[in-house]
Amino acid sequence: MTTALFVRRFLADYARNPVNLLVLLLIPVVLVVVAAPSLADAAQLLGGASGGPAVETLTAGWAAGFLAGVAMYFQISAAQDVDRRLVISGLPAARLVTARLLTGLTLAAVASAAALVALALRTGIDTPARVAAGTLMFAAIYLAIGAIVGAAVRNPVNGTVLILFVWILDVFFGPTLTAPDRAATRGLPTHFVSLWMVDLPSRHGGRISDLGWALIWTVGAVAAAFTVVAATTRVAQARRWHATPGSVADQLVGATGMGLRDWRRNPVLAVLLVVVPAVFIWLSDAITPRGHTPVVLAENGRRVTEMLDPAHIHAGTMAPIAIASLATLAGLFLVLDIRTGDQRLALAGLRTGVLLAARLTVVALAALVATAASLAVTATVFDAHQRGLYAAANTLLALTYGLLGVLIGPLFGRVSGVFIAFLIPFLDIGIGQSPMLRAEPATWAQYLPGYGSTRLVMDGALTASFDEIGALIIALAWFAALLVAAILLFRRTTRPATS
Amino acid sequence: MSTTPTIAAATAVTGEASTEPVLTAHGIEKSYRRGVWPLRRPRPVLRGVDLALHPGEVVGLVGENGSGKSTLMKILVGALAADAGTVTHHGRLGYRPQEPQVYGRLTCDEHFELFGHAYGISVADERSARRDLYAALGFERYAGTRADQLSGGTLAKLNLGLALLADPDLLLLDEPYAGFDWDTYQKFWTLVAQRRSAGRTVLIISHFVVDEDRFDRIVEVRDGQAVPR
Repeated sequence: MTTALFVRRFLADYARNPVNLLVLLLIPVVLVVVAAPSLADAAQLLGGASGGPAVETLTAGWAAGFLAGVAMYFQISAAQDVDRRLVISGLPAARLVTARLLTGLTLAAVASAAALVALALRTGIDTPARVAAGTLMFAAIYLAIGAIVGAAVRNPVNGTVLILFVWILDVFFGPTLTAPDRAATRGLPTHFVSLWMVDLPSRHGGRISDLGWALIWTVGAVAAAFTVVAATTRVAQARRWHATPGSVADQLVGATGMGLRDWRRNPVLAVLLVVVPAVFIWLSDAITPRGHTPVVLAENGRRVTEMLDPAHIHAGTMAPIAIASLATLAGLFLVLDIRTGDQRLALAGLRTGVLLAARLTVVALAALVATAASLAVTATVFDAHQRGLYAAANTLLALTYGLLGVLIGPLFGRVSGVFIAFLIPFLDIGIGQSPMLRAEPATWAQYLPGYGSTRLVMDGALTASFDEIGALIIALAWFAALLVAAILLFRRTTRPATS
Repeated sequence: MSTTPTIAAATAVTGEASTEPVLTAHGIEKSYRRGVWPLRRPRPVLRGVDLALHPGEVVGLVGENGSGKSTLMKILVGALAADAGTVTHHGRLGYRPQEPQVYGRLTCDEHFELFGHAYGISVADERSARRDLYAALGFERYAGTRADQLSGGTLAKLNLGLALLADPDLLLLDEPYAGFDWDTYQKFWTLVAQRRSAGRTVLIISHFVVDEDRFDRIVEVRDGQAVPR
């Protein structure tokens, strides 16, 4: 009951601004009636998937999305302080955010209706249920985007520019204005909604299907918006949870938090995170000529040699090199710089095991970020056959090499350590395991830490099914061995002496 | 293991032998290996040090350069393992190393917060102690400054502050006022006097002859032994 009351009041607040109502009318007219023919022409020029009619249909979704996003942005950003006051007065934050989102959904429905009416008047609608559902999904996704931006960006100019930027990217690089099968644009918010709405199969929706992906995007976006807005509306608690001072949990939270801050303030790692994947992966893709190269792969339990185009596979096989290099450097820098500080912290009473867990957590996070950055760059130029296995294998490689970096620091020092940190991944992954140089790794390369993980990467990248159990065992054994070595070395260098 | 009762004699002089020591070291020996293999030879630095520190006393630890003062202090706090001998202590221990062992990219505030977790003190106590230390040593305006951007003197204050944060029963300070200006030097001794009156024990490595009057007693590391001076 209270929620409904708040929704009514919020809607009244919105409607009492005449500019809002004007925009609600203007945007559908401009997009659906005036701009649609020009956009349809542009789609044909740019090689869009479906040509004119589909684009004209989609303009309803674009209009509804834009309206919902901007409306939700102003709702959240302008009322944030008052909303917090409501929460301070006793209104549960979850109920307030629910009311805000329901208000937004109502506005989204109105925006969708306005856009659909404009579309119906201009061209008519062949499949009303599908187009209406698609338009609503557009509106819901942009409602969430508007809410998240509203919670994060208070300046209205910055906020609307940001939403507009996302919307322009989404529309002009979407599947109907450009080619629908580009890997780089599949992550755009309304990629699958657009294709489903105009009934154009993407052919990369997999078992989940285009409609499934569209619904995942819609529900996921609204859930994310709820979480973000609830977090920013919640009143700061005077009595937050605190672990018992000096307990394992207390020390772990403290040490990990400071480790993350320390990492964030290391600009070299941030620069490398951008530069290494871009240089390694994009350059390899750009400079590799077409041709045929033999690659030994495991298929249905037996080894087969396949002739593959190096121009096609090079970026996918370069990703593990970038990932291993970045993870090694992260492990090196994150532990090396703080060794003497850790020794003192241990003397002050921080448990060595807790300190080690905190350091390894930060290294693991850095390795995961390196993996995510490299895979994101790779996805723009290479499509793995088994994406899950490809990502998991690269992650295992990153964690393995992160541990190697942890070991390199204390053993070789800063300057030599950096050389070693570049050299080992280069020799192991770049030369020893690379299918660009040999059809399969030489015997000596099979004893290196990257062998198992890289075979898994190749299996995920270039084959349709998982056939590398042996490689998985080898990769896990390397990871476990390096983990034990890192624990022993850390204890040796950090643990207080006992006499 | 040496049993030379050098410190027992000294504590008897100060009249504190009757109280239970907060720290006791017996027969501490330590050698460093010097030279290039296979010609590496052990060079003894400490040859059976005995030391006892009692509540409420401020003890100076002096000796020539290379005599083993810092080595002894590192062994007392557990930063270095002795070749032989035992160290026992009661209560919380605060240690100020000679070189500031800090995290370059963390701020002063963040260091205090982190060491608060290490000492196991509550957030409220840590905040309160942090404020007091900023005021006492005069570096509050650097609370949000990263350690690698601090001047040498301010870094020395942070280094000392981390040892004092939990108001430890036993403070071991390795040349704590190196880098301090005169005003901070005076503030430092005020802090030490407060600790002493609260029953805390302080062991300070010092080179300054002018400080002699400030100590309850002075122990000299000479020929690998700790002897009263």
